[in-house]
Amino acid sequence: MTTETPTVQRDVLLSRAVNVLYRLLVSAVLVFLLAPLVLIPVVSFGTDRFAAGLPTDFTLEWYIAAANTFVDFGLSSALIASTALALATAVASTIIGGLAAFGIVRYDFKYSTTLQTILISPLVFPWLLIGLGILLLVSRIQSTFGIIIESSFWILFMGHLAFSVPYAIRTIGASLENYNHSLDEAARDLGATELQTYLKITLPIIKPGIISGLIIIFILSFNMYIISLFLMGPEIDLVPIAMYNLFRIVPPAEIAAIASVLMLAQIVLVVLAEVFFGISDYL
Amino acid sequence: MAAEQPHGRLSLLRKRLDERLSSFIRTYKRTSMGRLTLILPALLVVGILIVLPTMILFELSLRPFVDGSIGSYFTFGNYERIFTSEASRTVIFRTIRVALIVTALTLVMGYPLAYTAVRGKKWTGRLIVVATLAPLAVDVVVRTFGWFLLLQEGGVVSQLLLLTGLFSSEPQLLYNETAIIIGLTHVLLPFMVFPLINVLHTIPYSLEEAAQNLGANRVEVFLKVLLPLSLPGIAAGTLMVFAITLASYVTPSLLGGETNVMAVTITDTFIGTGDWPYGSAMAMLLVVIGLGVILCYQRALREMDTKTGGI
Repeated sequence: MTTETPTVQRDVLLSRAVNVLYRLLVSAVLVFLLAPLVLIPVVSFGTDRFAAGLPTDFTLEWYIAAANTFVDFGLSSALIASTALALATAVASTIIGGLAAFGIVRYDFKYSTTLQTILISPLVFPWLLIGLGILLLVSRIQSTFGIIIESSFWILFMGHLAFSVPYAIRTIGASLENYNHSLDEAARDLGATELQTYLKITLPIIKPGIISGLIIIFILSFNMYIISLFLMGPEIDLVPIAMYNLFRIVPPAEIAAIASVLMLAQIVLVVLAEVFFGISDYL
Repeated sequence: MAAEQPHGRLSLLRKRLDERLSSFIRTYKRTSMGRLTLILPALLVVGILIVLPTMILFELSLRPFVDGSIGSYFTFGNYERIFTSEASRTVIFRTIRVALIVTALTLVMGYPLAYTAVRGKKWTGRLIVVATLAPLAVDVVVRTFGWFLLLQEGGVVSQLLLLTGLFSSEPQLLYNETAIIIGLTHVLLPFMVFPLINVLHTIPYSLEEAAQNLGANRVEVFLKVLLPLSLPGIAAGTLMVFAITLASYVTPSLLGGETNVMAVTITDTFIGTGDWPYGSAMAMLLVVIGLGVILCYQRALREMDTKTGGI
């Protein structure tokens, strides 16, 4: 008894210390994650044009300057182009990826594993190489066949499709794998036709997976810089590229103002998506 | 009556369409033709937009670049130039070093976060998921800009460091490897946390309780129960982070200044000069490392499949 008490006490103390350290670590990581996102809107209201340190005096002048920059640099066209590209990419890759996921998961057939590997592996294929590769492909088509693919929107679309189809296969595949097949059989036994079974049973059940995939791909595509950099023509501008270029022209405080507005919209979208569809389950 | 007739005709049409399509699906769904049709579009995307371009990249990397134009014969000259030049060797080693450090950091920071999200109180979990999702939603250029603000001269971090009294003058935090590592760790952390959260959800808490009841302490529970069971999630997260870091451009180019990584060198070569063969050879090195990652990823996926049935 007398020999045990100190060790028991030491164990308790030790486990408390571990607990405290663990909590500190988790809080520190949370601070690390949120610090840059919180700082940007804070300095956007400060008077310092270099936005160094925390502001002591506040102003709205950077938002007025940002509004002028938005007009002068024609950023609304970048906003429209980015949104259109991200929408087209999300819808197309969800259809292509959804069909493929259906083919792989629902019917187990001979080459299922091989096909799954081929189709999902591009998830870890560097984006830089996808952009670069399609640039080479387009210029090769031009030099070999003399076909000039003019519209850079569709070239961008191909680049974005290449990185996003595997994401769609993964998210929809995940929700199909958890799907209870006997539901389909039950529907058919009760007299539903093949089409009715898909439209009224299968689709509604895997809907969260499909919508999560759509939102994730929309965000990734909207924010995609490196693929777009290689494939962009002179007649089109996209938000991430415009932001990168502004970074070198406009004072930091004004960038902070533009970034705050963009950030607010993106965070609201993703938080709503999480609350309503639980998109984090599919990442 | 007149109003009902088109409606009746429409529903008849719908019924017929339904029957036609249903019998069509029934006929083809078990045939290999039917399955191929479903998978074909995705296969075409991967084949034409990823595999074929990579082959062109390889071919181009074997071409010489003389007098400002691309030659017609084959040579290993570009690879020779990469491996004999001190500067490009430095860039390659730095890229791999940065990718390894960022992967390790995201794992060490991401695991406790993911564990707390799964096992902590409901609201703590929610907070962590949202705090991890929010940065993922924000443009990488904007997030990197946030770190530029934090790390710049007179920025919050350097003021805090001066307050600790460890530095006599303001430390240079931007435009070096450390800045690149800090920025990339922030950008990639969500890609590590979500696979970990998803795998930890599949481990029943009763296993941890059982181990504790049998006398294991928290460290032992982690090492002998949690770690082995979460290995597939760790593998998926690690490989994803490593692959993305290896080829990331925005963060290193904004925070690194003159400190280059491979992605910056490749991009500058393609966009700034006509020496595409040299850029292609550099890019092929990324392809080789990328293929290595894919091989490991496949194994991890298979493990994941047997344990959790998908990612």
